[in-house]
Amino acid sequence: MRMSTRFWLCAVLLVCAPLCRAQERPYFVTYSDDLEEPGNLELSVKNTTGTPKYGNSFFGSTLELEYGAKGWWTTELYLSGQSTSNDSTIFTGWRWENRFRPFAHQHFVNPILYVEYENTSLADRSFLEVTGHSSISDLRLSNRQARPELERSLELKLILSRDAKGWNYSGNFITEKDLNESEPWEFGYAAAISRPLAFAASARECVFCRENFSAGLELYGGLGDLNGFGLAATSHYLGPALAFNIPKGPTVSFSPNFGLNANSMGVLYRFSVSYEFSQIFGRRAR
Amino acid sequence: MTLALLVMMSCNAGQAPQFPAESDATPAEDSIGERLFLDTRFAQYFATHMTAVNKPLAVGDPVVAQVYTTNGILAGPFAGQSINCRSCHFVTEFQGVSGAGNRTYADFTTRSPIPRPMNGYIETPRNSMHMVGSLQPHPGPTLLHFDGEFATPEDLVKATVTGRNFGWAPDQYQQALAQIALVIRQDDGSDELAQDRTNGLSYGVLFAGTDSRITGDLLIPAADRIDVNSATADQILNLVAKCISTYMHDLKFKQDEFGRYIASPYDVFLRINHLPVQPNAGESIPQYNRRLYQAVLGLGNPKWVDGTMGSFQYHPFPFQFGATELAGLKIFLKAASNATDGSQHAGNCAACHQAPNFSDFLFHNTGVSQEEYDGVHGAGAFMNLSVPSSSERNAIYDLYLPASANHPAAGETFRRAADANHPQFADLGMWNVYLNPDMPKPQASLKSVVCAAGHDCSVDEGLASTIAQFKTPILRDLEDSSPYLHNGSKLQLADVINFYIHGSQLARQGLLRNPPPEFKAMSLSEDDVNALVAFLISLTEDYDDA
Repeated sequence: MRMSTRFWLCAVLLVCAPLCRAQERPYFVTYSDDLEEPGNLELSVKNTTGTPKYGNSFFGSTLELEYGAKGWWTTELYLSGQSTSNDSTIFTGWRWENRFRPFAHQHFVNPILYVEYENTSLADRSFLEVTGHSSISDLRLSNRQARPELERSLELKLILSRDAKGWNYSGNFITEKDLNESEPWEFGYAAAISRPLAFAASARECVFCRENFSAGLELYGGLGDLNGFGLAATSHYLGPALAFNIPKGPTVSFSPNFGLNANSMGVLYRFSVSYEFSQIFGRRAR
Repeated sequence: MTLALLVMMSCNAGQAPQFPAESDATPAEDSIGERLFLDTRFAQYFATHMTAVNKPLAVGDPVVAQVYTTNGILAGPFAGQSINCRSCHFVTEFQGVSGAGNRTYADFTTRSPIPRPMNGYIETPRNSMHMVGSLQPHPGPTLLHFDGEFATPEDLVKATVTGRNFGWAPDQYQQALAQIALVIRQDDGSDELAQDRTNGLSYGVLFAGTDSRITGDLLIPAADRIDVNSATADQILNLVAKCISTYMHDLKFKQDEFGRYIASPYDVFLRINHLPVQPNAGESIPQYNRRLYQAVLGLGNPKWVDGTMGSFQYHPFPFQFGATELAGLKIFLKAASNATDGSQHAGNCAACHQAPNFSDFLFHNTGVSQEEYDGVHGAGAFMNLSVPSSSERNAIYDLYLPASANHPAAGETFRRAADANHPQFADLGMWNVYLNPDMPKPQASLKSVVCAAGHDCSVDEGLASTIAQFKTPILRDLEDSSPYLHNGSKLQLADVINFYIHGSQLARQGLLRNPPPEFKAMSLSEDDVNALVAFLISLTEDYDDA
């Protein structure tokens, strides 16, 4: 087999690893109210692997370029691909995402508005969100079947997030509209909590200190569509998540997500590596 | 969060979503092909009785005046006209008619009448094989008709409209060709069929593809267009065949856009239980069937299909897949190990009727011809029937092989129903076609089947292995293609199962000539009949060509 997309993407990040640092929450689907620092660029790879029941194993990988355009505006570009065993390795599409902070100051709950345009195929295995009536059956489609099924959609999210006593509580309400087919608005959700394993920093520099780790729990799934809002015929995942913020280095995150019903995969393993470049275009005013 | 989880678990969240609706991509040649499929003017009777191409006949061909069914005789839908493709491949012509009903492009009788006696025939040698799904993509070669006579649908169409089923004798090919060209050239689109199917446009206009009145759905691709006035008769026939074969390609049991079957209770059962509905990428169809069997065995708490999940409009029985159907599915998929009797509840049916199409599109001898022959001449007669070697057969073509343009008077001894007055008559199926010098086109495909891995395909051994082999029919919507088997000898599904029980017993006793190896893993008894029948009925859908 040729060197696949996943290896290429991983290689890029590993080369970049010594150059950057990042502090990340351990979430894979849920957004908190964190925006990128203006002028900073974060590079990350989010990987997903699993075996749908009666289907072929897959490895999905997404390269994410996140840039802090303003203090109130972060923009991101995603490039996704996947490799399926006994099948093929393919590019599955791209997304352009923007997050806006409507209020400058901290509130009891901090809202973020999220707007995304995505151009992906049904073969996409990034699991960046789950909406509508997604089914494990679709994960069994071959790349030859699923790849031509392109979805150009607009996705909106209302992100609500709160930090209290060291904990972060975040919830996202997701709605998505396919622009190239006459399908109804689809809905989904994501919710998560997390906290660092220690709040106080150690007196001496260390790598594996507890304060460099944060742990949490993440839940996400579909909520049907405009023709059938609710939980019927939807898929849902729940799982613990752990992030390791390597001092002066990348953040590595891992999360096993467990399917909560027969429409979901048994286990979805997710791991990511992210790096942050500071002020890549020089110092900018906020 | 705990509350959310509890809500989720109790609200049918795991219920499987519906598969997408049926795919509906129709090429232009499809509509024109349907009109050609229904056109009654290509027949020899029309050629000899017409006053003009666009004028109806004064007196129709008696062969289409009536339709024979196993329940009696019905008025023919093409009475007053002459024969067409649809005369033996019905769909909705008898919808709602007692004793008839919808068809999956099959007829209602054991063997179909032909327009005029020829080579001693007054009817086709075999039952009309249902056409729906026959061109479903599948591994291996495409071979059509019960005996694999045609390697492409175009060849099948050409041979049919210029052949015996349309009233043309084997030496009348040129007359048939001239008639088809005449109809296509002189058609003015004035008849009701043209109005309904092609907006009243003539074949000449449609085939030229330049008239502004041609709507997008009727516009033949530029590369296929011809001027019927300057085109040769062969070119016209080629385009006729292409249009009809395009139409044939579109005859499928209901599937979604990904080729997943969606309409029968069985399909719903697989979907709601999240079972695999088709092979994965990189998986062979036999592997898929074995995996499906394991998945079915491992189904701990199956969800049943009932009337809340669908209904039949054209069938009297309920839309269901319950415990009996599941038991039948297990028997259907199970292969017996070292079967010495019928006690293992193993049909090994999926060895040939492979899901999801329920056919391997290949050829097997299940003993149908032997049963028919022995029924006429006594038990064991077929085992002793003298069948010539390849060299002997081909040397005396007229004695043994089917009539053709080169051998118009051939006797077709081995492509006939058993007859008490002609003990040499039998139907040896693919044997008539394989290595037949007058049928060169399907030979490469047939050889790939006969010489499949492990088979001795030296000339005489290969030919002997084709004795009484017939193509595996698709089992979907069987209710709409009875009577069953190539000779229509079984009226009920239970009769078919009992036939297999008996056939596999004969094979175990060494009393079945040229037995299929798949029978070694078949171990069925009377106890299995009801469950298997229930399962086969669960493959029914409301096929109506809509």
